[in-house]
Amino acid sequence: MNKLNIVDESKNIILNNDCYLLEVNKDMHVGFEVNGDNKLVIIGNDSHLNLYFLFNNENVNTLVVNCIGKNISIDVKGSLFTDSKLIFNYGVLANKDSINTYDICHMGDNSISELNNGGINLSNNKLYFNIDGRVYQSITGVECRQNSKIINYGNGDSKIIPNLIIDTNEILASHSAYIGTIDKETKFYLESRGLTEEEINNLFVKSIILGKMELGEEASIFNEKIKEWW
Amino acid sequence: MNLEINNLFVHAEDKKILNDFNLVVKKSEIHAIMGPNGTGKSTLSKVIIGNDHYVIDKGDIKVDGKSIKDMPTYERARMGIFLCFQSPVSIDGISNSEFIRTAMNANTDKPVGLYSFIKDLETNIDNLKMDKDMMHRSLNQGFSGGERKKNEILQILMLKPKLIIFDELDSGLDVDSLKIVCDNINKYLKENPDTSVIFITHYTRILNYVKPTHVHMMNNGTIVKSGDFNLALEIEEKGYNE
Repeated sequence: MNKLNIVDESKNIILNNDCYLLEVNKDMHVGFEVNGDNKLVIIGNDSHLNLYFLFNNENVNTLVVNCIGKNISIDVKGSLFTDSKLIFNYGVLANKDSINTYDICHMGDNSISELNNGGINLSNNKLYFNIDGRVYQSITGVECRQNSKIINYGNGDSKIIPNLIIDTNEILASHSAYIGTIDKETKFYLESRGLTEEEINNLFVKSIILGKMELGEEASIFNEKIKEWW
Repeated sequence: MNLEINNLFVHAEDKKILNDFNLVVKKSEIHAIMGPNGTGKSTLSKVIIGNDHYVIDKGDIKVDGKSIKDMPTYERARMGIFLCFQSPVSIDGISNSEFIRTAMNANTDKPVGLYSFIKDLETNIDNLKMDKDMMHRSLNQGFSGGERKKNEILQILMLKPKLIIFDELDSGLDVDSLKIVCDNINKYLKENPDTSVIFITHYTRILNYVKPTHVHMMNNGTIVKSGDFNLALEIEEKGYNE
């Protein structure tokens, strides 16, 4: 993985057919230009991230983002032109307010976005996922998908607001949202395999944070971080 | 493992489900419990493993002479009781292999070695004719009904329980998968001859592959008739009403 060092926030980072690692410990604003097939791994701690993704309009461009953090929040904006694909997997563990927003605009045919969010709300804080997917008129072959899940461990205020703003007829779009505690049936299944409540919680935190991520070489770092944060 | 259920009365919410239920399963025995829908068969399996949705009003459940009715589910599992679920849950983000290794570690005193774990897992996956990729996928996520059942059997082969309760094992399994699953169960029972088994089923189909030593017919929350394999054949022929 190429480690990214953001020196000047006013300049866009060019992602060019590779895998990148970004570690963030302070508030940051970063713009990315996506060329080719890319993966971006983000690990954050106590910070707010403003991320903007611009997909090159000339080629088939793909970006998979696997982003995890403790007490972080994100503000993601993306413009997807023809044949662009953005898969954004996000997992957050929060005992402070974490307001997260997405604004993803499909501006070209056959563009695909899939936003998968998992949150653990540990305390009495806010944990929000506000997700907007926009598809403009006359665009065809678009897929726009949103999946979000929040598990409350305390009495926090958790919200998921999924919006699909669609101005075209031919599209595959879906959203799912779940807020709750660990469901009884799942807990019983895990207990029946000999796991205590603590072991179930450990597994669950990992399950929510990592969600649908397909992990590569970041797997061991993510696992260590989750262990450290939990 | 010896299981003894004495005069068990169980309810959930306002409904009485088990009504003076009695059963003795000695080690190495294979019992089949058959009965119509809604008679309490699945409830029985959940009560044995300790689902707190069900309330025991009276009676006791003993394993090797020790009462387990106040024991939490995870302790019962650690004693060697395994419930093979009718509809196993799926969990995103937890890989199948990670889950099985966590469960194995929970059930033993010393950590399970990675090398021996992978070796055993691969052998058992081959024996069950499962796709190797399933080990790296999220637990039961996107698995077909048959794949989920095979995954339950895989957990048995890895966790090596002493009392196994199969709740409607044959539902969701096609003919070929059922044979593969039953071949693996028979092999496990041959290698672990002290294991006790309870099959909860509607049909005799599965009992043709894994022959029961005892067959019981259940109705209205209690056993109404017991016998050998011939009872299963009789039920198959005449139904539950005669």
